[in-house]
Amino acid sequence: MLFNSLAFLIFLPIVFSCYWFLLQKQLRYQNILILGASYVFYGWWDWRFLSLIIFSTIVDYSVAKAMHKATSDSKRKYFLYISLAINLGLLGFFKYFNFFIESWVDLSQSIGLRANISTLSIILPVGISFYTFQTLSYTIDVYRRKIEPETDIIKFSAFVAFFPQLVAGPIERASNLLPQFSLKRTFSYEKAVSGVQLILWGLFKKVVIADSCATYVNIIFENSENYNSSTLILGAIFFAFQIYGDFSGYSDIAIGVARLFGFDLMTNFKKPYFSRDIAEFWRRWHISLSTWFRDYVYIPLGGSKGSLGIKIRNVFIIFLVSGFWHGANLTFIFWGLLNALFFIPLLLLNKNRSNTNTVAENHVFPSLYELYQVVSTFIIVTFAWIFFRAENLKAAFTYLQHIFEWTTDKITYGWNLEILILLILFIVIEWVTRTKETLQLQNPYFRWIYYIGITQLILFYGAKNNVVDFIYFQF
Amino acid sequence: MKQFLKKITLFGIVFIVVNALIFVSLQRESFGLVTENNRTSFIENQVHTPKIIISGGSNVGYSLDSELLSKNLQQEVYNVSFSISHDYEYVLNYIASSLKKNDTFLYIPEYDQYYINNENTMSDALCVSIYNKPSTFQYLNFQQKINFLTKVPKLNILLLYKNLKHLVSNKTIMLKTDNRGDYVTHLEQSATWKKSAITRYEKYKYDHKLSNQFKNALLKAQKIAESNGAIFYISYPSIAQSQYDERFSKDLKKFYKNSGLKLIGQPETYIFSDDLIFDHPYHLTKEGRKKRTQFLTKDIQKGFTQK
Repeated sequence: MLFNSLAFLIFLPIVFSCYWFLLQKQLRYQNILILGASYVFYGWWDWRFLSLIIFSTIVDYSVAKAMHKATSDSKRKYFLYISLAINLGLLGFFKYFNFFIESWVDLSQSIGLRANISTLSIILPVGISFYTFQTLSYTIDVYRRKIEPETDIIKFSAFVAFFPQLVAGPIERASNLLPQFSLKRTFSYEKAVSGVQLILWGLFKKVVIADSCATYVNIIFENSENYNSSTLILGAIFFAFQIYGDFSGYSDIAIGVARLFGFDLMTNFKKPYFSRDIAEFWRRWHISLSTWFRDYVYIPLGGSKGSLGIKIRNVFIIFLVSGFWHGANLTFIFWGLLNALFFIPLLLLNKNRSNTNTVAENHVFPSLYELYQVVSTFIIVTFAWIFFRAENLKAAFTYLQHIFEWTTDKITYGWNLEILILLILFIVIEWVTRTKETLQLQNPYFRWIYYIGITQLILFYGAKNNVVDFIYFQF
Repeated sequence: MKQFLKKITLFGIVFIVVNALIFVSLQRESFGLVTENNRTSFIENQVHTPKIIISGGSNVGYSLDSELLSKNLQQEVYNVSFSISHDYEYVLNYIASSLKKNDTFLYIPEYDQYYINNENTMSDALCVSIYNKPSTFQYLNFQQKINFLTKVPKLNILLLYKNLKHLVSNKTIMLKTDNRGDYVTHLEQSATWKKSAITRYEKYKYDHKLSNQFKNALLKAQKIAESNGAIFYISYPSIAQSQYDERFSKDLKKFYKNSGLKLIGQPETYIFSDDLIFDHPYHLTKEGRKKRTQFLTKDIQKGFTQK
């Protein structure tokens, strides 16, 4: 079920009403309702894949309990490996099987060997990377004795399948989300209002910004050889806004919907395009994934401790793994590699934590130097996005090659006043709210006009553009 | 909770009231395919009867001189073509049901239509046509009616904003038609068509898979026309030489064999050299259009007298 669909518009009020009116003060039934609603939400795409979530849930629930009862460390480790093998095995099979087979065939052929291995027709279950990482974090935290295992299967299942963040995050930690299923829920007016505001802003980002940019991005990236430099640069910029609007929009809606049910999810984006260097960008972009890799991969590898060589190795590993997490394509790995290369100089100069505050804090406008930093960071991030968006590495390099070709016989496209005005409006609102979640207008009349206006734009662009899936569902 | 529900309800009411106020204060005439709106007036209004109504896809719209045909035949001829994205079942039902006694309905489908199975889908163009003329809702089949109803909210919003856009900009892009419904904008423009390397049959891999639904729609239209005291004929579209394939002719002979449908002309008559094509294999230039009209005149004179 898409957040920007009619089905969800009907689904949400029904679940909300049952949750607060029928089952108020009955925590267990509220959890059962959330679980049932989550399975309906997920099964709307393909009910067959529900079995995967249920299987994953049972495995981690049982493994964590067994781990807790285990008397020796070796047994605990054994149970951890079972969980890792099953979760990563499923992820590997559904997401990376064909990639490895194809890569193996390509490699064999390149050294003159014949390889007749067939690929399989595998459908990628929506959101598998997200819920797999969420359940993995639970098992690892139990192993590390950071949390106690959950004994109530309903609460645990609801934690794994919690519908607002099931298919595209934020990837929640058990230590944050799981205890919330045990807390008595009372309706909070302020929380619900902030939730609705976030939902509207998230829909604006997705439906108005991302989907409008997508129209141009798809045409420009699919026929890059026909377009001139300015169009290709514009195409890359549009994609930067598309992916941000799409993904952060989803996160905002997820956080907003969770608030309607009394839950708090972690912040996933903190205005990343106002970052002054790449390190700051990665502290503000897809925070739930970055911190996951930090806690479960980077720090166990030694993090920023140890020799310079170890530090550099760890940075490369973290970015390459992050790239690979996004998909079974060399483009994502190259995108990760590029980000590592952008990050390394900051690490070497010990400047990777020099911008920990917000840009132009307590000022209306940034200084010229800050502006230069923000723009240059945006440029390198957008450069890397070209690899992320391209069908394959060859297409990405061809795209770049055409950017630097200066010819007059190619087509100019995409310089549309409507989309440019939308983007300027979006940047201004993002800038004004760079330290907050949403625009907080004190004057009630302006506040109403603002939200009515945003709703109008969402409806119009929702009708105008075809409903487009969220990009991050594929990961 | 009460306070929250009150606010949400109030928000919904304000939103609906604002939209309703804007909606009722705007005109809907600028919405949709204006040319098709104009054309339907030929079948809905009491224009000279008996008349000949010619319909089909854009092939009929672009490649026919109804004024010349009218002069040649000494009879009123009107062009009521619809873009191909209008479902054929809808077009045939609509026109056949609107015929008067002694009218003639000449339908000239494009070759592609013989291979399209109606999937009960509603194209945007068809939705807009129904939206503009709700009385034609009856010509949709059941599944299409349901599909259309689900799209009404979307159309309301688009209409609202289209009108708002008109307030700030008078720019309208539309194809002009003459007083008999023929497209005329392209007559003064230069051709952009480039000869194709493969035929249309090859390109779309039709592979002799004719549509039974299309045949049934034609038979139904014939029945409706006859019940109104009108006559229903079918002819062949004009097409670029490089896009024509002999398999079209073979398939169509098989299609019409023992069908009881009245055909006029031969497919080969309407194959035109590529330099007479405007921008699409079914769209003729001014010169091509004139030639086609002369050929059609002869076929009508010959075919209609055989009735």
